[in-house]
Amino acid sequence: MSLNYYEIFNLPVEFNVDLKSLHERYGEIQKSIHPDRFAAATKLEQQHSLVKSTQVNEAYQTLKNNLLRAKYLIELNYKNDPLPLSSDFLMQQMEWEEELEEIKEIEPLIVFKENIKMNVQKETLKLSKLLDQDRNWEDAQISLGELKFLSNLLTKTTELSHTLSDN
Amino acid sequence: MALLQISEPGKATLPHEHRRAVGIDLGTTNSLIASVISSQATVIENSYNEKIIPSVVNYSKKSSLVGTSAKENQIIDPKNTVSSVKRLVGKNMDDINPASFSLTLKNYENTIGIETIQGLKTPVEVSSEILKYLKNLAEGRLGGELMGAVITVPAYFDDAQRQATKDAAKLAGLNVLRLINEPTAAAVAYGLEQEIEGNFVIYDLGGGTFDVSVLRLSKGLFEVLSTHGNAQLGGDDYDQILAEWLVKDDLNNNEPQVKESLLKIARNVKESLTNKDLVHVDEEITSTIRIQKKIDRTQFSQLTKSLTEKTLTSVKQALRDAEIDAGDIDGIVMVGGSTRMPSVQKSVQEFFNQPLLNNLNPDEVVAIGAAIQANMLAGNANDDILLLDVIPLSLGIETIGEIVERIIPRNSTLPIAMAQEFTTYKDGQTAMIIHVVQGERDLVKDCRSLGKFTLKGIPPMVAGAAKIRVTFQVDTDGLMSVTAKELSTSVESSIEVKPSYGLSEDQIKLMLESSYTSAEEDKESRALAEAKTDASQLVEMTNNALNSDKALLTPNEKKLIEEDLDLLNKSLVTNDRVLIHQLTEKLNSTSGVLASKRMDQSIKKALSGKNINSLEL
Repeated sequence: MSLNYYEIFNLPVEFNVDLKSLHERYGEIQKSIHPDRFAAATKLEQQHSLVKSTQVNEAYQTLKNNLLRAKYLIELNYKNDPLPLSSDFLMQQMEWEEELEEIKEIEPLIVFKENIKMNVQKETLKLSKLLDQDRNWEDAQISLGELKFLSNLLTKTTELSHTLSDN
Repeated sequence: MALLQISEPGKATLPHEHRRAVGIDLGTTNSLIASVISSQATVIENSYNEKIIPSVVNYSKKSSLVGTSAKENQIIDPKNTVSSVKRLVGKNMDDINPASFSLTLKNYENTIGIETIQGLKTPVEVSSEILKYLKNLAEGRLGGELMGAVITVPAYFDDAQRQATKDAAKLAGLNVLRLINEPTAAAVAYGLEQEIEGNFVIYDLGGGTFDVSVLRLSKGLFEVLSTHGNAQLGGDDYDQILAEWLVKDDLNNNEPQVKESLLKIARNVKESLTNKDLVHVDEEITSTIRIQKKIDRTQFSQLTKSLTEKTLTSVKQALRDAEIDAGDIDGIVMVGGSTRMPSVQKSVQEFFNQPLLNNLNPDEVVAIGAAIQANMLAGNANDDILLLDVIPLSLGIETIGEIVERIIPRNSTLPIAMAQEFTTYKDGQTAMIIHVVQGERDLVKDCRSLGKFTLKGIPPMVAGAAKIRVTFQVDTDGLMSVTAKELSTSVESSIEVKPSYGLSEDQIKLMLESSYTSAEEDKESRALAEAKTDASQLVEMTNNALNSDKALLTPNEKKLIEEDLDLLNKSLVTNDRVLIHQLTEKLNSTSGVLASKRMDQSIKKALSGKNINSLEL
C-alpha cells in the first residue's frame, strides 16, 4: 500500500492520536477488506485481501502503541541514527534497576511503581511536545530512547507485582 | 456473491442462491454439525435423533462405524475402537505418553500410526472418518452437496495440529471456509444472541482441551485480546483421576478392557455428581474385579482441585496478556460439557466474583457459532460481524546456540506478517535452512518444531553480502507460510518445506485417490468438471466486477482483462482441461489489478462514511 499508516486511517500525522477514532476506523476498514469477506471469492482476491488486511493490522498496531508510533513518526521525517543517551539518565536507570532487585514486598513495590509510572508520563509529555509542537526530531529520538528504558522498567515492575501476588 | 456485497451492502441472497454451509465442532469426546436453516442456526440430528455424535470410530475388516454404535463397541472391541483421536492429531510419538492410551500406537513416518484391523491408521484418517459421517448427515438433511464448512479447533492448537485438522477435512471431501477457534465460535453464538458489548472471558473446558479467551465485543467487531490454555487438559483427565482413585485399593490391572470400563464408570460418576451430592458405585468390571465405593461432591472437588487450579492459572495469564483486570470483565461464558461440573463452576465464579453466563447449551454453542460464521463466509448473510482472532503461541526461528528468536509474538492479531533479514556465512552459498518453531520457551528443544524451510536459488555472493529477507505470514486460520527474497538482486528464493509433523501433500493426494473407487469416480471427468466450475465462477465474478467498477481501470488494463475473459469463456465449450486451467490462471493474473483497485476503493469508502459523520458532530 502506498498510503502511510496515518493516511490509511485518515488521521492527522501527529504523536497525539485519538485512539477511539483509530479503533473505530480500524474496525470499519477490516469489516470491508478482511479475508473473511472473501471466503467465497476467487483465489486472487483472497490473496490480495490477505496482504492488505495484514498491512492494515501492522498500521493499527503501530499507531496504537506510543513507542511504536513515535518511532514511526520520527522515521517519516528524519533518517539519522539516534544520539547516545546522557550518562545522568543511564545512571538513574541503573539505580532504579538495582532498587527493584532489592524489593521483596508488595507495599514498597507499589510506591516504586507509582514513581516509575510518573516518570513515564512526564517523558511521554516531553516527547509529545518535541514531536507535535517543536518538530524537533533529533531531541525526540533521544526522548524516545529514554521512554523505552522507562517502559521496560515499568514492565519488569509489573511482572514482579504479579509474581509477588501469586505467591 | 462476495464481490457484489462490497458495493451493495444489505442485499440478501435469493433462495436459489443460498449456499449450503455448515459449522462443525470436531470435539475430543463429541462432535456436532450445525447449519443456518431458515435464518436459524440449528444442530443437525442423525436418524436416531442424536445431536451429539461421539467422536469414536470402530474399524471392522471392510468398513467402519462412527458415533454411538462405535462407542458401544468400545467395551467388546477396544483394540479397533478409536476415541479421543483429537489428542493425537498433529503429533508424533515423541510428544505423547503411549501408556496413557489404551490403543497400540506406533511410529509412522512423520505422524502416529494407530493399530487397527484395517492396518495402521493415522489420526488424520480417523478424524476424516468422523468428518465424512458428519458431512453425509448434513448433506442428507440439507438436500444436497455442501459448499463449505467452518471447522472449530481449540484456540491453543498449534500450526501442526491446525494443519492436520485441515488435512482431515480435505480427505473427507470438505471445503474448509475457515478454521476458527472454539472460544471465538462460542462468543459469536453469545454475542449475536444477546447483542452485547463489553469485555468477555470464554472459559472452554472440553473433553481433552482447555482454552480461555478474552474478547472485546463492540459494534459487531469481535476482537480476541488474548488466549491461553492447555491442549492436554480436559474432562478426560478428571475421569482419569477418578478412575485411579476407584481402583486405588484394589488390583492393578492394565488390560484395555478393564481400563475402558473403569473410565466409563468414572465418567458416569462425574456426570452423576452434577445432579446429585453423593454417588454410590457398585460395579463388577470382570469376574474378579468389583468396585464398591462412594464419593461426594466435596471429595471429587478435592481430588480434582489441581486440574481446576491449572485452568485458573491460564485464566490469570490471559487477563494479564490482555491487560484487563478480572473486575473489568462484563461476562464469563462457560463452554464445553465439562463446565457442567459444580466444582469447576464454583471455582470460576469465585475467581471473577460474578455469576456465570451459561444460558446457551454448553454442548452446542461452539457448533452454533461455527454455523453462523459459515453462513456469513458462504455469502448467505449480511456481513455486519467480523471476527479478529490472534495467534495463540509465538513463532520463532532457531539461531546459533539452539536459541529461539521470536518473530511473531503470541496474541498478535491475524492476519500478520513479519520479515527478518538473514545473510550467508560462506562465499558462494546458494541455499540456507530455516528452522521454525512455536512456543514461549527460549530454547529450541523446549518448543514445538514446525518445520525446516530450505531456501534455494540465492545468487552466489561473498559471504555476508547477501541480504535475504524472509517473510513469515500467518493467515486467518492460524497457519504459517514463508516467502524469501534476496534484496540486492530481488531474486525470489524457492522454498521447500519439510514439515516436522503430519502427512505431506503427496501422501494426502494418494489417500484421496485411493478413496475413490473406479465405480464411484472417473478421475479425469471429475477433474474436468472442477476446472470448468472454477472457470465459470471466475468469468461470472470478473464480469460483475467489470460492470460495476470498470471506471477504475485504464483503457489498456480494461482491454487486457476483456481479452482474457473472452478467451476463457470460449474455452468452456471445449473439453481441454489443461487449456481451461491455463486460461483461468491467466485471467486471475490479469484481473489482479482490478481486484486491487476495488480493495483500495473499499477502504476509502469505509472511511469517507466516517468523515461525514464526524463533521456532523
